[in-house]
Amino acid sequence: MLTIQNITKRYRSGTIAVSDFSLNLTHGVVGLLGPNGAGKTTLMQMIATITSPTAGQIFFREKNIAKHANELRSRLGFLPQDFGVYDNLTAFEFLSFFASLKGVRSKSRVMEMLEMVNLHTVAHRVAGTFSGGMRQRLGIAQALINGPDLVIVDEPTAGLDPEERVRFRNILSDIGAGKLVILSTHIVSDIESVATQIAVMKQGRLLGCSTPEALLQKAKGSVWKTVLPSEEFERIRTSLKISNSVRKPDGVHLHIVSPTCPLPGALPAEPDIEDAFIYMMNFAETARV
Amino acid sequence: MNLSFRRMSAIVKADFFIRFRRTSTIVTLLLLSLLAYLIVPAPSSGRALMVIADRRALLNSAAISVATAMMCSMLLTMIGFYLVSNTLRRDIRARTGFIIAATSMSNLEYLAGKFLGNIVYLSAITACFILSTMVMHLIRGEAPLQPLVYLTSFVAIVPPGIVFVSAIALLFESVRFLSGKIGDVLYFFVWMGLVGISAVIAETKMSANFAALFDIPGISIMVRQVMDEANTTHVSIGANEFDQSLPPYIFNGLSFGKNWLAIRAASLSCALPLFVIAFLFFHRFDPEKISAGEKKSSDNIFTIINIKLKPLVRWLEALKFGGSQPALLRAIWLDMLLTFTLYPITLIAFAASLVVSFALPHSALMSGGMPVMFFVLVVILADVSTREKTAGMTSLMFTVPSIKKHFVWWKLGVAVALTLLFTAVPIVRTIPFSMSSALSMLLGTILIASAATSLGVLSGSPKTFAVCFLLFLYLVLSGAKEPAMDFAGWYGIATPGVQSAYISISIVLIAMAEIKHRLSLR
Repeated sequence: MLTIQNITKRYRSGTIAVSDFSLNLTHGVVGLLGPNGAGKTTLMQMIATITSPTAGQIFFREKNIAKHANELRSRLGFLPQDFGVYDNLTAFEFLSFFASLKGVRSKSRVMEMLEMVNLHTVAHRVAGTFSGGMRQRLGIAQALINGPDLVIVDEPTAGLDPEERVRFRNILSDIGAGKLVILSTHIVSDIESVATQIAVMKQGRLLGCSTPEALLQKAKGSVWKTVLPSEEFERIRTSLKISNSVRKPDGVHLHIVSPTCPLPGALPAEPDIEDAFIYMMNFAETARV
Repeated sequence: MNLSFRRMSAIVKADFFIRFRRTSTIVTLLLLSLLAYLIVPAPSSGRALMVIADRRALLNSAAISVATAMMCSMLLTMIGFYLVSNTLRRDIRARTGFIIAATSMSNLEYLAGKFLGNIVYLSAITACFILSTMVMHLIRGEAPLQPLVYLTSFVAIVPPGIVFVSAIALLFESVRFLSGKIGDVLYFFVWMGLVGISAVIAETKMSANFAALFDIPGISIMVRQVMDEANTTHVSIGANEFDQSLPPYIFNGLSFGKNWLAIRAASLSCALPLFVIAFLFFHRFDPEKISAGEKKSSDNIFTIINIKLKPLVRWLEALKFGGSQPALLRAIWLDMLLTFTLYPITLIAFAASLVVSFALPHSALMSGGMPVMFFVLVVILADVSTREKTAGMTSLMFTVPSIKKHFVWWKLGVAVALTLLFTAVPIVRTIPFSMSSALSMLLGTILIASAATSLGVLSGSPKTFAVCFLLFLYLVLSGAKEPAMDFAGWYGIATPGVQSAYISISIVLIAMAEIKHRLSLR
């Protein structure tokens, strides 16, 4: 459905946000994972035709979006980072506005989407009074109102409380079937349960893209667990790549990512997605950028 | 209904709701009602809405509608710009612009929707003004109310101004260099140019010629026709004095001939090139084309200059004292330094003002230097009381001792201190010439600081103060040198009564801001 070929984005300041990035995506939920400043937002904006690549091409259903932007735009749902609302419009008015812009004629579709994101009971309340989670749900409703084939959501869970995060993940999981959903985040837990593919970015480059299972396989043998006294933990915490630490009565239980045994007594552990992400960022062959 | 039309009407509808639910629109409508009350005075007051050859025009539908339509047109070409010049910026700040850019809607559809949205909003404001003046007609009119006469007068005079402002506001927002604070100030001079062109056309009897096409507010052709009809060169609009011994002049209205209508229709077309330029410069929310400043504070060119000048203000860090001073005094000092740190260009303006204050002869300083300084001060003071709100830092600032309770006094202190940096030397230099003028200058200092603080707190927007005070400065500088206009001692003719009036205005402004602040804390 979407083919990204060697795209690069260099800003006027000389900063390279995305460098020689290539990826081929079909359908499902693709988690785009990377630290802040990795170039995720710029990549998303290029796919959404908001800004153009300095080099390279993006194809949507075999058509170059630089020449056929509307082919993609008419099938796209986009939720930008730090999405805001027009404070004085009600949820219904806000969604009707975007429905009209996207060529959706049915008013019942607006209410249908509000019901999907569980905002139908506050449809006639001004959006300025909504919590962060409600705004994000309104955002995803506008992204889906035109029944898109490609959905791009950029850092959708930033600032949401744990309950709202789960609710948002469930919505994304539900809409993933038959569509291509690209979800960018720097929080691993946002995607580990919903992503069918995970792409990892660092400094504008793609470190790898695979299924969660394949990603876990890559990290296998490089994750270790151990228990340390608090004082020793404080001493080693900055020198090792620690993916998880939990304080318990017998000491601090650690997950450490390292190609070799990092500490005497450390035992091999089953990697999770967080471990795999840290492995990709620091030890994978492609991580040397 | 095709898709393009539906898209444009959706934009118009959304913009209308967003704007009409704003506090600023309600304030504008109230001010227009007040204006209608003020400019249609009772004949017994000794002032008249329209004075023709020293005779007051009888308050019939023709006189009231033509005079108020002309004033509406003049004001709308100025205030209208500030009311509608944030439509693209709103989409940038809410980031809905990115969503819009990712739809298949064309740039033309989007901009045309915004353009029509501006026109509809300003037309609605005009309609409310017409209703207000009709109400005044019912109260003070001396002939039956003829709604059709009102409608005809407004339709013949106002539309080119509305269309022009709707287009130029889009242009200013689309062109990176013109958007933001610098554009707001620049437009004020554009408006002065518009009014100037109208006046020149009226005085040089070009109103029937091609030149009248550029009379966007429509003043010249209206004034010219009244002059010709009454065979006089003296026509004034507004609450003016008249000779009470003369009988009232019965004005029968303008004759909107083919020539008139052709000229006004042609004036409408002046907006077209502005729209085309806006279209050519429109960024379609490409983050690369929207400056970092615009995304946050809409300063752009100012931001660039200020970033370049940053090294000039690093030494100010050494002046940030702390400890023994009262908390409020320390906060005032620090916020004043913050103004210089945020806008290093202010420091250059201050240095220039010092040079001007010492170098110019006193008379030149009063007639030229001080007005320029006040224009500069409008720019500097505009966001002093609103910057915390704009940056979303109000709650954070309220955790600083004394700030929450004394926010208005804090901001007033900063505004007075900043203004005094510019006016202190001129005040001291004026003392040997006239103690009264020096006092007026001090009162003018307090007035501008109070207005900046109060209007910022009341409206939450720096634009309100900038627009109101620039309009006030325009009236002071363009009108006759009357004592009532000598708010800052520039003319040396302010009476004690005038001085008392201005200090009273300052007190009322601050009281209003304090009440608003206290209510907001509840």
